[in-house]
Parts: sequence; C-alpha cells; structure tokens
Amino acid sequence: MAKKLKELIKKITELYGPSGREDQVRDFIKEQIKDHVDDIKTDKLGNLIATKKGNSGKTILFDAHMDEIGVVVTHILDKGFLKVEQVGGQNPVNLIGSRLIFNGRIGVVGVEGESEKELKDNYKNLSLDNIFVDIGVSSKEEAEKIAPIGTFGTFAEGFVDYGNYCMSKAMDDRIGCAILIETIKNMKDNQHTVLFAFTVQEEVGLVGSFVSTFDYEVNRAIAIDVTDSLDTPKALKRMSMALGKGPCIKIKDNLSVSDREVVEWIKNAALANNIPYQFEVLTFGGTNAAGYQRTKSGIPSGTISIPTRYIHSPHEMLSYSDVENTVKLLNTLSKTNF
Amino acid sequence: MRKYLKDLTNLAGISSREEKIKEYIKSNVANKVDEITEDNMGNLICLIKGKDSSKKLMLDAHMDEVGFMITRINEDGTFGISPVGGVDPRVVKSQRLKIEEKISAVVNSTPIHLEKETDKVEQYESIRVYAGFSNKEEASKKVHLGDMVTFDTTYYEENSYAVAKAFDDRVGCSIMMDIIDYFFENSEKPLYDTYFNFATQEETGLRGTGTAASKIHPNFAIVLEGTTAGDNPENTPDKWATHIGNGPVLTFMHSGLVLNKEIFEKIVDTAKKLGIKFQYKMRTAGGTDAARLAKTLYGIPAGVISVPCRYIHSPQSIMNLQDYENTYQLVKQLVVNTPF
Amino acid sequence: MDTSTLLKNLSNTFGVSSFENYTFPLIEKELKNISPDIKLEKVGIGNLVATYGSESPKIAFFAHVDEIGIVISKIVDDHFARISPVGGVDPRTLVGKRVLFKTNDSEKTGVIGFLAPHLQKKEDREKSPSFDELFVDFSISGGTSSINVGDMGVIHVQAVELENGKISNKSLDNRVGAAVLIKSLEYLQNLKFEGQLMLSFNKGEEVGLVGAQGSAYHLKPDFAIVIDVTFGEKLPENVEPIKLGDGPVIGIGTTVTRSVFEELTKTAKNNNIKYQIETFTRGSGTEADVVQISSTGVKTGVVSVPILNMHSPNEVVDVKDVEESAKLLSLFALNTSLTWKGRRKS
Repeated sequence: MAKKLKELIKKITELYGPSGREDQVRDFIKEQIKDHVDDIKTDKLGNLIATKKGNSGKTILFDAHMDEIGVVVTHILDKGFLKVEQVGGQNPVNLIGSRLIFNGRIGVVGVEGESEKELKDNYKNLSLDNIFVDIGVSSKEEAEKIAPIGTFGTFAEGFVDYGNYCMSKAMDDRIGCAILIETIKNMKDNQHTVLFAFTVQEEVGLVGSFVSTFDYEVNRAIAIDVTDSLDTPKALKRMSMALGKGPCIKIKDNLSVSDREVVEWIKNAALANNIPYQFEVLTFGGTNAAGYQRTKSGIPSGTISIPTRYIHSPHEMLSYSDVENTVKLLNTLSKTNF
Repeated sequence: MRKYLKDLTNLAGISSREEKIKEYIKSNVANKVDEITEDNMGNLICLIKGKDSSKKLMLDAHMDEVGFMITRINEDGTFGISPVGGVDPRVVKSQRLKIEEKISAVVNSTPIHLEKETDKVEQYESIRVYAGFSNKEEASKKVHLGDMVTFDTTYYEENSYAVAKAFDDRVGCSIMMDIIDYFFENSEKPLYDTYFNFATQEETGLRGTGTAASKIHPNFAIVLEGTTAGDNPENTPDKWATHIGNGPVLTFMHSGLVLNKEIFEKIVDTAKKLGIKFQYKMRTAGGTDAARLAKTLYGIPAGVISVPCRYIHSPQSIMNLQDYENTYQLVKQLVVNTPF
Repeated sequence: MDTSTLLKNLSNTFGVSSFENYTFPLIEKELKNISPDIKLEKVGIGNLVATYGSESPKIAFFAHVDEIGIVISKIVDDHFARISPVGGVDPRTLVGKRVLFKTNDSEKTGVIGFLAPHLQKKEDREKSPSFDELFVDFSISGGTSSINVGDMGVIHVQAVELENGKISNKSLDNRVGAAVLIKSLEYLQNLKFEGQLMLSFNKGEEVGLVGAQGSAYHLKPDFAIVIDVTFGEKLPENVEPIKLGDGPVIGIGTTVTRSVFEELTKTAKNNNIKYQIETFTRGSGTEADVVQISSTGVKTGVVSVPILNMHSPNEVVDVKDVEESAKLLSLFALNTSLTWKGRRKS
C-alpha cells in the first residue's frame, strides 16, 4: 500500500488548486474514485460528493477540502512586476524565498524599500503591501499576457519522501483528499452509507461545507484536515499534538467544539481496533466541522486531524504512519455503530 | 434613467430600518412587475417573468446604509450614539445629523482653543449629539433609545459627477429600478424569470439576502454594489482598489469567497462585447452578499458588479455618472439576453 | 420549584459547551413536573426541545444551557496540565481558584496555580498571567494519570444567596435563561394560550451560537424570542446603563424584528411589568443573530436578564428580574396567539 499511496500523495499535492480554482484537483479525484463508488456528483459551488451505500439506515460524512492557499494578482506595475493579495491565510514571511506558480510560470518575491532603513523595516514588518512578485518579464504588456489581474498563484514546491515523514506544499488538505481516496478504494462492508465530500473554498471561509450536504440527510459529519504539530524545538507549550502518534481526535479549535458523542465514537472505534490516536485541543484555527454544525438543523460533527509541521508554508511535513492509521480509522468508523 | 437615485440617497434607512426606502421602491415599481413579496427579514422581492422560466436569476442590491442609533439619552439632554455598520469615528466629528429624519442635530466639537491636540480621534464613547434639548426628560419625549440617526446631507450633481450619502448601495437599488423601468417602458421581458431583491441588513453582516434567496431558490445571482474607490493623491495606484470614471467594477474575489469563474467570465465577455469601459477590483478586502449566497441552500453562484464611489461610508460620497450609465448598460445586457 | 431554588440548582450543574448533557436531565424533570404530557425531543446537534400545545401560531423561546469553562490541552507531567478556554474566559478570573474537571465517569479537583509573587520578577508582578502562564495542579486529587487532553472543567463554586433577593454563582449565563423558559411555561399553563409553544434549550452558544441555528431551522417558528443575560453594569459612556432589579431588558435594533420589539414593550406596559431597553447596533451577541436569519427568516425578539460580573464565578442576578421576564414571555405568547386567532382587540 505504501508505495502506491505515496505516489497518490505526491500527485495530488503537486496539483494546482487554490480556493475557487479547484478544477484540476476535482478532475483528478473523480478519475481516481469513479469506479469505486455508487454515486458521484458535483454541486453548484464545485464540491465533489461521492456516495458508498450502506444498510444501517444511517449516513455519515467524511470531508476533505480540495483547495490550497495561494495569492491572486491584483495589480501589474509598469515593468511587469505583480502585486498580489492573499487567498486564504497567507503569512508573507513564507513567500520570501519561495517559488510561486502562475499559469505555469514561476514567480519569486521581492521586498520594496527606497532607503536601507525602509527596506529593513519592511523585512521586519512583511506584508503583501510591501512585497511584489517577479515573473521574469520586462514589460507590463508581457506580464498581462502571462498573469493578468485575477490570476491565482500557488506555491510551487513539490513532494519529498523522507521514508516515514513526507513533505509537500498543499498537504493542507490534499492529504485529507488522499486519505479519502484511499479509504474509498479499501472500503468493504461499510454498514453506514458514507458520503465523501471533497469541498471547495475552505481556506477563504469554510464555504463548501455549508452547502455540500444540501441534498442529503447526514447523521454525523467528520472533517479530515491537518492540525499543528508541536514536536519541534520551543513549540507552543500549551498543545500536545505530535507526528507519528496517530490521527488526532479534535476536542476543539477556534471555530468549533466537537460533539462529545462523536468524539467517544471515534475513540472507541480506535481503541477496539488498536489504532493509535491522540486527543487534540488546538488553540487557534478551524475546520469544515464548523460548517457542518451550522448546516440545516445542525449535524453532530467532529474532526480527525493529521498532525503537520509548518502548516500554510510551502513545506508541510507529516508522518506517513498517521496517514495509514487515519485510513484504517475511517474504514472502521464506516462499520461502527452509533 | 437615474430617475430615482436622488430620492433614494436622500431617504434615510440604516440596517434594520429600511422601511422608508422600501415604501419608495414599492410605490415606484408596483404596477411594473409581476409579483411583489416581502419576507420576514424585510427584503422586498420583485419578480419579472422571463421568456424562459426554466431558470431563475436573482439580482440583489441592499437598501440599508451605514448610520447610527441613539444608544443613550444623557441627563443634559444630549445623546450618545453608536455606529450601525462601519462608520469611522473621524468622519463623525462636527457633522450634521438627522434623528428619525425629523429632528436636526449637530455633533458637538470641543473648540480648538480648549483642545489643542488636533490629531486626537474623538471616539464614540465621548461623542455627544446635541439637538437643542435642555434635559433628559425633555429629550425623552421626542427621542427614544434605538432611534435611527443618519447624516444630514442632500444629493447634488454637476457635469458628470454626483455627490451624496448612501451610494452604497442605493446606487444598486437605483440601477435595479431603472432596469425594471426598461422592461416596463419597452414591454420587454428578461431572458429568465428575474427576481429583483432589495435586501436588508447588508452592512451589519450580510444578513438579509440569505433569507430571500432561501425563498427564491435562484439558479444564479448578480450582486450590485457601490464599492470603494481609493484614487486620491494620498494613495499610490496599486492601492486604489478602483478608479472612478473607469467603468463598472468586476470582482473575482473578495472577503470570504472566490466568485464563480463562469459567471465572472461571462460578465467580462459581456462588457467587452458592449465595448464599455470596465475595471477589475484590485483589492480583495470587504465582502458582499455574494458570500452569504454561496453558503445558502445548495450554494448559489453569484457575480458582483459595482459602481466605484469615493469616500463611501461618509456623508459625501462621489460617483461618476458615466460609470453609472455603463454599469446599467452592462447589467441590463446580462438580464435581457445573456444565457447562463 | 421556586425560582430561587431552580436558579441555584440549574447553575450548580456542570455544562461546559459540548457537556450539556449533565444539565438537561434537571430541565427535563422540571418541565415534566410542570406539564406531565409535554413533548421532549433532541434536535440537530442535541438541543433539548420541549413542545407545549399544538397548531399555530408556533412560538419558540430560545435559551442556551452551555457555560464557559476550561479544557485540558496538554499534560505536562504527573502533577501539572496546561489549559485553554472554552468560550470567552478571562484568565484573570482563574488565578487561585479550585477547579472541577469531568473525566470518564468521574470528577477530579485541581487548583489553578501560579508563581508566588515573591518568586516573580518585579516587572511580571505588574501583569496578570495569560493562559500561557497558567496551569492546573492535580496533586490534590492523585495527579494527572486519569486526566486526558480534552477533559473539560469549571471553576468549582456553588450558588450563594446574597442580600435583597440576589443570587450569585458561575453559569448564571445562561441558566438564568433556562430558568426563565421553565417559569414561562409554568405561568402560561394558567393562561388561555391557544397555539404551540416550543422551548429550545440549546447547546454550544458560547462557542459560536451553534445550537440555536439548527433549532431555528428545524422548528421554523412564526415568532422567536431569545432569552439571554446582559450586562447589568456601567457600560461605555455612549450607551445607556442597565440595572439589576429594574426588570427584563427588551432589545431593539439590528438582529431584532421591530414588530416583535413593539409587541414585547406593549405587553410589558399593559401588564405593569417594569422593563428596560437595550440597543443593538452590531449583533446582539445572542442567539437572535442566527435565529433571525435562519432559512427564510424568523420574526425575532430578545429579552435579557441583567447580571453582574459576566463570565466570572460570581455572576449575580436578581430573582425578581427572572420572574418578571418569565411573566413577560408568557404574556407575549398569550397575546400573540390571541392576535393570531383574531381574538384580540389590538
């Protein structure tokens, strides 16, 4: 399983898919799962929803978002330099020294500053207002052809396999997508009807999750997403998540508190099948679970997270064993009563 | 065209108090549309049936403007106010106001002789509104907690510019009324069943439009807005956001949403075909009702078209009349015969 | 049960957001005592909904039952654990407090420790610790071995009666609201109400108004009143102060439907219920913000009960305000049902 799944992770993380421009990711996923599910559809917003039927009379939903953070061109300066704004939570520090990609064209980032003092100050207080993108052109006209205003860019860093650890851009949340694809391919004898929602525009405001269940009655929803990992030097001391200790069962983050019955259900499923797990309290952030809680009459929801270092940087690192264990856990849940 | 803009901007209607605007619109469109309904949030929904009833288009502009509410009646007969929607307290200093459109009031301002620090911002906590009352008892007879307070200003136009309060978003309301007139005067029909939603409570969190859309179930929507133009000498062009005179503003992304690509491109193509000047919104901050629509029902795809206005959320907002005209032409073309 | 006892019992229960199930049984029992055939059900994410009467108009009262609290976010060693807030907790209210945690089927006491002033640097003595410096000491109850990340706790206090009919406790925000709902049903039983009253006791308000949104969508009432607490103390200079003991507080402004505000004030005036007015210029900060815009929209009002020291273990309420609020709500329901049936001269 490892080699094939890693190949899948490499392919899916390297795809281009900033919020609102998830087409390539959606097409890729559709191709991967179409022969393994009972139904598949794309909604008006662009969410891809696949169904595997069960006979328990209950429906559970697993969610992973397809979009990644990025930047969007908002202005083109005279010599063809680009001004950009963020798509999702973008720390400008991560842009300096990184390769970006716009319509297949690589861009790099420079910092403005007309005096040494200003330049120093700008480096200290980096913002999208005081940086620019260079796509290697010499005129405004050339830039307008390659990356007109409204062009979305993403990080261009590719997949790295360290053996147990893996790293790439967009692990957030392609790793969730890869886990769902793998779960679909391995799923046998699911008791519950399982919906797999590959959602859009999570990074700009959890948009997809508010509407992906419109046509369905869902009893429980679980977002599969990344969470911070605190096993690095002098990491935030109030949290405990670490790579390799198993999928995290989220208790709370900044946007949602998980349903306690859902938490117990996941925990018991893990315990019964010897799948390692960690409890997670994240002191910031949020996942699509917050959207599902607010859908229609409200769906009891939770999140299973993959601990990940350097989230929202071009180098998101996680443990492959956590990925495999999450696949196992999701399969287990598809046949665990509640 | 532009028959209603002056009246619309002169009327007062903060978020949750849109009734005067609604009455005005209702009285002017009543016999021109196929159906008028109001919902629990106060949205005014006007339907003109189309040639093809298999699809529903929702046009949306909000009726509410930013303003204030009376939040305290002081012992000395002055009032404390709080903003409804985003009004920078610096804009409030020494303004003229109207309470419930009836009572004139001024914002007190400490004389420069007594307060030398002229860069100090007077915050809402200390702003006092004076209407001539000498004590709380007298003031309480005519003014109540929760009363609406708006800027006291009137519409004025000269050559190709207009100045008024509340272009955000009476300009959208005005364009929708003009389009209703167009269909009425020419006995024409839009391509699809078209719902003109005059929305409430946009400025306090995009609250109105969602409930209207939940009733309408539109296939797609176009949100019309008055949006900020930063083209002034204190700002460099890359931070302008929009430029007045450069035509309707088309948005590909704003706070909380990347707009539907197909609709965005259709709007761009239509503008190109019409040969009108248009521009892209060059900042992504700030949201519109499109963000609410995306989270409503099955996720209603929407486009956003705006008229650029300088100094929005102030009593003196400036707009270019050619921009209005071009926006009207573009929206009309989309409604009349652009297939989606 | 008399109002004072009800308030004390309700606020003594443990009910941090997502742990509301410890509070629900008391509410269910009390509702059954008042109206043995009342219909009880769980809705959406697990809100408790009680339905009284039938047909229309459908009137819903909303109150959240969850309270703010703390959650274990990391086990440091055998004695100590780190915590995070659940809802808006002022870390200064925790310093030097005894805390009670719910673990699997049991309870565990801890103490919020801090570095003694004598051991602190001078500059640190000037400021109160943030969550980053706070920790729970479980040495008093056998250490952290039975504690898990995710266990939730509250400041360990019990209700106390103060002079002049005041009660102080944690979680009066919003067990006060729950008490108002229960009492309003008691009053309504003696009135000629012809319609359907739904009492929605909601989960998860303190962490984003989650419960009420689903309940409102599910119940689709014709009218909704949200009952919560508000600040019975000095407010910013440009805002009218609200006082404990001066009666229910009726909300006006954004997120409130004006006709409902008017009906509430009229009802209060006609029945000699002393009331106060609170202005909402942004959101109301209550469940009304989501109830009013659920689905195709709901005509919504807000009635608040003033309390002191909100989000501290020493919230204070005047029992009389609770009773008057319940009266106002029951009469609102009655009048609304009569108007609906065309049996009331307006």
